[in-house]
Amino acid sequence: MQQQEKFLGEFEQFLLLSILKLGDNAYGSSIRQLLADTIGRDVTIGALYTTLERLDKKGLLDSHMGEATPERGGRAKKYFKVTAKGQHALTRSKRALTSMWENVALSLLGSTQ
Amino acid sequence: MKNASLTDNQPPTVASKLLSWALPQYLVEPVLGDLSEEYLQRAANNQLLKAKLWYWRQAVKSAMQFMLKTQGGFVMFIVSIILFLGLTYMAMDIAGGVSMYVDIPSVLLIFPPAIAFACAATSINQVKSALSVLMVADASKQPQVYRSCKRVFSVLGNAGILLGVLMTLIGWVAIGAMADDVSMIGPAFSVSILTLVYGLALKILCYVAEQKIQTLSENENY
Repeated sequence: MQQQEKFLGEFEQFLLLSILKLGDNAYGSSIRQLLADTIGRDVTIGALYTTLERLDKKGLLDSHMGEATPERGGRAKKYFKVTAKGQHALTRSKRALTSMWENVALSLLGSTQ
Repeated sequence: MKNASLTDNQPPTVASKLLSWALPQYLVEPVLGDLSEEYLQRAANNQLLKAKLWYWRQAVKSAMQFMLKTQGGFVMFIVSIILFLGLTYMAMDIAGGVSMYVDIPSVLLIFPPAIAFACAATSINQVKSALSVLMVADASKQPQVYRSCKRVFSVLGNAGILLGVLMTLIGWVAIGAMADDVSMIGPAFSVSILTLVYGLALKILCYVAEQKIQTLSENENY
């Protein structure tokens, strides 16, 4: 049964890792900026929330509304936290990728790595 | 000066409204807040124009992302209306030109009275509410709101078609009265039929609107 679970997609992994890196300060804008600064991926806020919602529905994330601030036009932040299930899914995906990379040699521009 | 700069530092209102309309209700606050926060950071770096462009890009792309999910019914409704109008235009054009289907007196005989009948049979507020329910496609209203909205479109459509029949018959009576002038019969008949065409077009649009509201009311508990 466990074996039939799907692995996380690339963007899903990026989001979960960003949330883990940001700790208690993981909300839409900070996640977006971390992705842009770290991997140079400029995602729209819509794409970000679509995936966050999907992960939330799968139970891989928890969310709660935070405080409203003036620079946000008096609107509250929505904070995200990776659940134990989310951490387990990340570990599985990482392990699967590591296994797949074992004994793989890439030949680039005529040289072998 | 200070007031002007404060006003300038507000995110573009139209873009925000577009996004609020397209987003699910529970995401409006966090998403607009996030965008507003980042917009102010960008605007503070003396890059106001770039910040505005960035905000518009984010708002439009994000709205497109959610629009079909949250406002899919409304988008399909608009697409079907545009398709209907386009095909009608094409049919008129093929049949000999659009101008022969345009007759302002016939328009005035159908649309204003039909709208007046709809307001009289329901109320001006109910007519406004029906249009707003159709635009926002919100499936969370009370059942009686949907019923009154359906009634508005039902009265509007039926009044349109009945007025069309009545005006056409009035035209035929006039044609009959001047039957001795055969050359006048063709053009007069053509104009008299136009009111029926307008009434029928209004009925079709109202029928689709009525069914759209019916669907919304059935999705109420979804």
